[in-house]
Amino acid sequence: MYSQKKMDKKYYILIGAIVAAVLLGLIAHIVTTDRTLTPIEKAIKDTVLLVQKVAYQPIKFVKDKVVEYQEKQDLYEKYKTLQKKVKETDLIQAEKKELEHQLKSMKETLELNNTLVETEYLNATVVNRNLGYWYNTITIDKGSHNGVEKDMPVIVSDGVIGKVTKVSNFNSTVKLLTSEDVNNKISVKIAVGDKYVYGLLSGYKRKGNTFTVEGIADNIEIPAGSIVTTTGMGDNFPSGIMVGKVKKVKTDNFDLAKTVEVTSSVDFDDLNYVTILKRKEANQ
Amino acid sequence: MLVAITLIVSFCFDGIISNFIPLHSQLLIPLLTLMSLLIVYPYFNHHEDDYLKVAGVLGLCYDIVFTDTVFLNCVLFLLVALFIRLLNEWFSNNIFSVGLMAILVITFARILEYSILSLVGFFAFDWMYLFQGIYSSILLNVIYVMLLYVVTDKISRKFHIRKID
Repeated sequence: MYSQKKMDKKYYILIGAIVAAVLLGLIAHIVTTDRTLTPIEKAIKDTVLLVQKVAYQPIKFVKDKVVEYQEKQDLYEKYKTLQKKVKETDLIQAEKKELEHQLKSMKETLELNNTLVETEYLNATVVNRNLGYWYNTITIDKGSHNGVEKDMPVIVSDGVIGKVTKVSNFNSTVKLLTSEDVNNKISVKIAVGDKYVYGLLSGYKRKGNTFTVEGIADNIEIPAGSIVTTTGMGDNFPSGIMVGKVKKVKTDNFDLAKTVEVTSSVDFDDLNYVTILKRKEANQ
Repeated sequence: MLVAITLIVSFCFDGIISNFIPLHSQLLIPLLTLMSLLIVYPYFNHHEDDYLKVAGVLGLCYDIVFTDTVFLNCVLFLLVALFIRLLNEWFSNNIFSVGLMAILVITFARILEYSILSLVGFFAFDWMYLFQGIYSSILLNVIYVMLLYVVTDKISRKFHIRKID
């Protein structure tokens, strides 16, 4: 009798261990692989988020009014700053037109139909912000119905914020660059004079809102304040999107490579509206 | 009915409130759905199988709608539900013990989720990051759980809904 009980207990422990191992394997597969959402998941997600969006509207209205009131307080100062910027914009516009003209003629000469920087823009509103805490994701209200596809880059007016990882019919999940996920690395370039220094954006520190750029050759001097942008190579981000400015340069423990600390140009704490970049098809 | 409303409202609030809180807030990370599980336990009146089923389904919904990680929160909510059942054997049901239980539940859930994610290689284990995840979730959720307790308790008294004390 006693031995039978002991055997039963052993079986329970064995079954429990097997179930736990299977569950862990399943979770590992779901969390670490790039799977697409099933039609059932898409339907549930879209329905619940639609209900939530409707419930959120009155609160959003009040929130927008409060923000509007706060912005009106320093309207005159903003107007003065913008006046200065408008003058600078005229110069930039003229330069841009000239560059566009040059680019067009060069493309005609080389018979190129598409370059790394050609994109279309799609604006979206943030529906949820980082629920689940560890994942560093946001949910936006545009999905495959609006032409959103997996891996499309997402930006705000200040710079790049992440890429689309999951797409349902009317919503998408965006993984932010702040994610601790080991696979979430993008290639960036740092403008040093007329040249570019290339590296890999790898880590993020909440304190100070800074990224770490690794893989930089030791023989180049990088001054603080240098502009960091995306390279447009290797990943889905087009070239030239702002990432931030160099804060500090450190040499690694073995004096072989430099690690650059970059202050992000984006305030990740306050993401309300974002833009999805759709790369133009060739021959378009 | 009270149970269903509590769970649905908390689930929707989780999404809505996230839009008002800084992404990397050090104090106000919402876990309202998980907190609602703590509040509704006494209303199941020892029908623990039903309670566990509800917890599993709620976790699955949380996975699909908020985190895209099918089964992770389903398992997590189930284990948290078992933990809540255990806590209810030790603590009586009043506003202060509910607040204390909320702190224990948050700590348990955070450690469990972080350990699973580290174990499957989602990120490298970092004590500080885990500690941040715990303390940043306590304030908002304890306030919410206490408010929810007061509201549901008043409603249950008014409509004579039975619950474990």
